[in-house]
Amino acid sequence: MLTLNLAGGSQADPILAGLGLKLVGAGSSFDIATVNDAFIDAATGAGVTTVKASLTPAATVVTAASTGSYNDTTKSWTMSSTTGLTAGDPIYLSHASITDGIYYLGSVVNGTDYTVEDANGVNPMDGGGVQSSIFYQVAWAWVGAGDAVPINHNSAGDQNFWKFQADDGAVSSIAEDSFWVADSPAGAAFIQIEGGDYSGQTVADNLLTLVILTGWANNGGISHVEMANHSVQTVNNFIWTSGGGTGEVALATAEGGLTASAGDGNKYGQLVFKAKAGSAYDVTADIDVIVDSTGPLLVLTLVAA
Amino acid sequence: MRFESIHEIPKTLRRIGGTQLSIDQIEALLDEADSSELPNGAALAQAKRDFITRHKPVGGHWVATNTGASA
Repeated sequence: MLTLNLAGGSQADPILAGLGLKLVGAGSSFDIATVNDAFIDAATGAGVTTVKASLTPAATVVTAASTGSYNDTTKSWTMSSTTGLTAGDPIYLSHASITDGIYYLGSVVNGTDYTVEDANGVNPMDGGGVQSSIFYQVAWAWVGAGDAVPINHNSAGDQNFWKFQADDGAVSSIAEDSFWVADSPAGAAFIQIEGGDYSGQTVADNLLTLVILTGWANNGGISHVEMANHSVQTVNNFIWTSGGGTGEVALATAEGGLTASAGDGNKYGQLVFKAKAGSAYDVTADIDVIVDSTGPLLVLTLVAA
Repeated sequence: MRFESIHEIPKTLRRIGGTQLSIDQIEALLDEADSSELPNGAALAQAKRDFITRHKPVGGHWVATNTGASA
């Protein structure tokens, strides 16, 4: 089962539709001669909806060899040619000093050099000295929003099958795996503020608890949250309770709660959910509460009776 | 020799058809791929096919079937 930040493995634990996805197909034997096709389908079996034309790098780029090298001074890796490659493209790497697997191009330096990072943005060979005989073959990715065509999604959670087919010039192999994507649920099931709905609720003070996708075991794959202006009111009246500010923070920090601006009244803002720090893809939700911290004014007196 | 240990070679390249290759055989196979005019992964794939035509699995190892092939 394919997962995004651990989410997506089941209908009950889906990926939130709209977050950025990078579906990767790769070969671990360094002998792919041709990428035959790639599909995102609603059902297992023979491919239906091809995304071959959308792959990055293009399906025609099959660069591979066993003679890669790494310069720990410049932090650059070298391959036979970087033609057709761009930052973010996946690559399958093997060397005794790293864990074999799929990495990503941090940048393309020139016609032969590039930088590499893992899914967390870390150069796997950093500090490891000069290395040679690195096995590599570019891999291929479909990149897009998790609610974009042809991703299947609905309120109950929909299953998607990622299929990748390639050959070595004689024999073709195909692999498929699946993941689940669901639309945002309604009300407090999506965003819970002070234990209630995230829109229109009256709260008694400015410190507000926040829970995101409380019923989804892995928060729909959300890893980071940012604040922005309410889309209609064009204002943001909240900051993070943990650390302050409105900038992008890790999910755990965001769930440290919100602090509404001082004073009673309507408070508006927007939460921006991402699956990766700095992602170009996000899911937004306008939030608003009414802060009413003032109780009735009471009058006491004593008179003769 | 490019490799001092079999562990420097990806597991996926240590066997063909389930039969173990020696380091020397793998190095010869990679050298053939590197010198091939075929592009990229196709070169290694062709080198594997060429290897199979020149060897046969015997007792869990690949053994040359004619003179001139790597043992």
